[in-house]
Amino acid sequence: MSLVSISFLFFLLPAALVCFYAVPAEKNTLRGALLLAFSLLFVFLVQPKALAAALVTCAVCYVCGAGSSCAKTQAARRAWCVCGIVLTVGALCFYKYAALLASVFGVTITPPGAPAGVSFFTFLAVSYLVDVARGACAAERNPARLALYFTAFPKFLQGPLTRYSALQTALFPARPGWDAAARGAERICVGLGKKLLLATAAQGAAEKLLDTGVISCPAAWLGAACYALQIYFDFSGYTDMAIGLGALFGLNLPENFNYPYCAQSITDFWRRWHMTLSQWFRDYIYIPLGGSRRGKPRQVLNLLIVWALTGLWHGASWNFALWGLYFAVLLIVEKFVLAKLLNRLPAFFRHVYALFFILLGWVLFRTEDFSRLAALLRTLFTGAAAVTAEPFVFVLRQYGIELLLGAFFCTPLGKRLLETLDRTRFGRVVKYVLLLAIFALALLALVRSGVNAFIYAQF
Amino acid sequence: MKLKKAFLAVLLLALLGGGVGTLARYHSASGWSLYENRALAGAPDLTAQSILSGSAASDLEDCLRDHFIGRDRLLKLSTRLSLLRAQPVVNGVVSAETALLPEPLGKTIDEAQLQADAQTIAARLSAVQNAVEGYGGTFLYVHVPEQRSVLRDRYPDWMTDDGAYLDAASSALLAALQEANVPVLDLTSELTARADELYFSTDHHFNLYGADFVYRSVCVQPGVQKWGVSHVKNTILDAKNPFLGTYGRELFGQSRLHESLAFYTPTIPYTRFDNGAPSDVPLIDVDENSQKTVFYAAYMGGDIGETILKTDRPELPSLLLVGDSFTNPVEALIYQSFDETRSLDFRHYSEKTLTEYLQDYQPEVVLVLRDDVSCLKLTGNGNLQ
Repeated sequence: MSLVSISFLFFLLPAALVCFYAVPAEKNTLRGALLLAFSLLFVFLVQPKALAAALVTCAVCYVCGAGSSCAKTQAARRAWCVCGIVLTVGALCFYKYAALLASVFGVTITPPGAPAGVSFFTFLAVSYLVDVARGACAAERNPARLALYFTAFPKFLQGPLTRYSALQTALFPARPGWDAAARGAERICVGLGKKLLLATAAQGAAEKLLDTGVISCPAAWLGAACYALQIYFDFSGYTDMAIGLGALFGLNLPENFNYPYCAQSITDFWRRWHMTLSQWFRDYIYIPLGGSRRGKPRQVLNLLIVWALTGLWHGASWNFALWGLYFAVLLIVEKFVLAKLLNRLPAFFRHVYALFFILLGWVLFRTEDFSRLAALLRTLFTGAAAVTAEPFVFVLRQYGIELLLGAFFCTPLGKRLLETLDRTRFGRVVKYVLLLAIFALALLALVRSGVNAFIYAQF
Repeated sequence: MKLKKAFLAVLLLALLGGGVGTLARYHSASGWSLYENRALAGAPDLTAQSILSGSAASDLEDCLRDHFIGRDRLLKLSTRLSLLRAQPVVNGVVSAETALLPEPLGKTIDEAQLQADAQTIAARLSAVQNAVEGYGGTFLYVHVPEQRSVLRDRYPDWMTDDGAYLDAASSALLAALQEANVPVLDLTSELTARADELYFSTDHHFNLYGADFVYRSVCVQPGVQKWGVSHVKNTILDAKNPFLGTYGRELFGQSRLHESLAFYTPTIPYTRFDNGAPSDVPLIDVDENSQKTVFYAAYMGGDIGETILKTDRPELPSLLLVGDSFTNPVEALIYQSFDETRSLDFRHYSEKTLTEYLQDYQPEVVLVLRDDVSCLKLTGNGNLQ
């Protein structure tokens, strides 16, 4: 089960909505309990061991959080916090990184597959434990509310990463009003369209260009651009659905994207892409390591550590570590070398510069096999021997409409269009007809498709 | 506010309607998809293991998708929209001007692999030949092109077809068979020269005219003629019924190309057995009075593991025909020239190996009929033992 599965959209979701909204307005606890029940069911249907892992993580956080809040000294609070982190992050490392670490020593091991969403709920656990130890939020006394924080179905699989303090008061939610519900439903339609229409088409184009033998230099760049669209619409589509579902069920989830392909530097890109992850790494790794407060050499080291971990968080494979370090180097160079030069460049050239390195980064991210990566990089910069027009003609004819729409919706123009339509009654009618049409087209895509896995769900 | 409520209401009704409708449909729907030509996913097995492993949830999703309310209509609509957009490939089908063709496989030619596979197939066929000739029978390998091969010039100019790969595969196999002294009847050039007449334009097989050409070509082979076999001439007609070929089906009948299924009326009486049991499935199931849509499976009732046609004419030899669906229309015709015709499709037959079958029945004439797309597959009818 995923957020774009028939079993979720047409069975679990309507059942949850009917039950949730049928509860009288004043009975928030009952509503929260129902939301928890449906969330546990959702996680169980995604993967039973994910439910077990999430509940064990929740139990560890509950005990260590309670211990931390009852501790009389700072050292004791820290000890409870560290204990909880070691247990939860230790489990994550075992599932995801044991094989990779063992391979460094020439040993081959095969640990059991990682539970779905483990990277996300482990980071929720760390943020909860640290925030409680710091006093930024009170330890949760109600295990059901804590369990809902970890397993709430809108955000379980791929975030956004939320701080407990931000959700605490909303965890047994009030019944949303019509406005919030309508906004949520609009966002769900947009998310479905992004995932099932745009991301799927971009995936087809990227695979056609990048996975079919020898290609030309322009085809490789077009393939990289298609992959960039695929990963953006896949992840931001999920995020839209998560935020929309959150709004329907009274959970106010944070934004995760701010038109990242409009960035004018790599620094700017990472302020717009997967914002909650960047903020998490800043608050729980970079700043505790000293951030920029201990001199430039230490700051460079901190950035390298944070970005290596960011890369590895995405996958237990050396290409992800390389991807993280690639951005670390770019960020360091921008910060200490290029800052003044970039400020002097016209916006267009800053944008081209940023897109160039972003696309290269996605090529690193996508290609786990290093020999294939080397061949692809050679093609990107020098071209390959046999050049044919076929991939272009095929991709443009097969996916041209979606790719054009994708490029359009990478900019704020789409949002502005919806806002413009909202200004008049006729415009609102057009808006809702468009959204329903997107829903209908997404349904067509869903019925004809096979598996609808999200890219970031594997992390 | 009213608009928001209406929007929410429509969405909620769509979600509820989809769910309730799917549950209601599940109980009444058939387990077979006519257009996709496959069995629809059934309800998941609910065991502790399947639930805890997550396979039950995954199977449930497949079942719900296959039985979603209005699924066929939704898929037809989706196909129609794709065709209107003039996408080069819709549901894996390329809609050329005068033919529906499969999306090219895009295989690169690995000469070493082709040679290795060809040698393996040739060795297997040589063993079968030795077994047949051991009891005095005649063995013949019949090589025919698939529709995508003979109509390769119909692909758009800018699209690379599989022609080069298929030619390389055929050459490798035919060279290996020649080296192994396996008798071959290669009908590629003759069938290609008359592609429009002998092949469907919306299905991957040859039509009944093509099958008749194969039948006639086999009958004039010296090794077959010596048994007193001769071709029986038939009046072949085009049925008025609508026909959905392989690719027409993939497009849910939305293609603008239409053609007919050819048929003839068998006059030689026979008794039929399918997989060991008596069968009254007609050789060619066409009822012009019903106007029912017909499919390639009208020939012999589709792919069956073992079919036996007995005509009680002991003066004629017996035949064993081995191969995929290309044998179906050939069987419907060639039985006329033999006392007993047996056909085996090893994709669906596993009771005996071919060697054991030959030992038991010792048919005088053994034909293995393969098309150029499947000829180097090492499984199914390529795994003859």
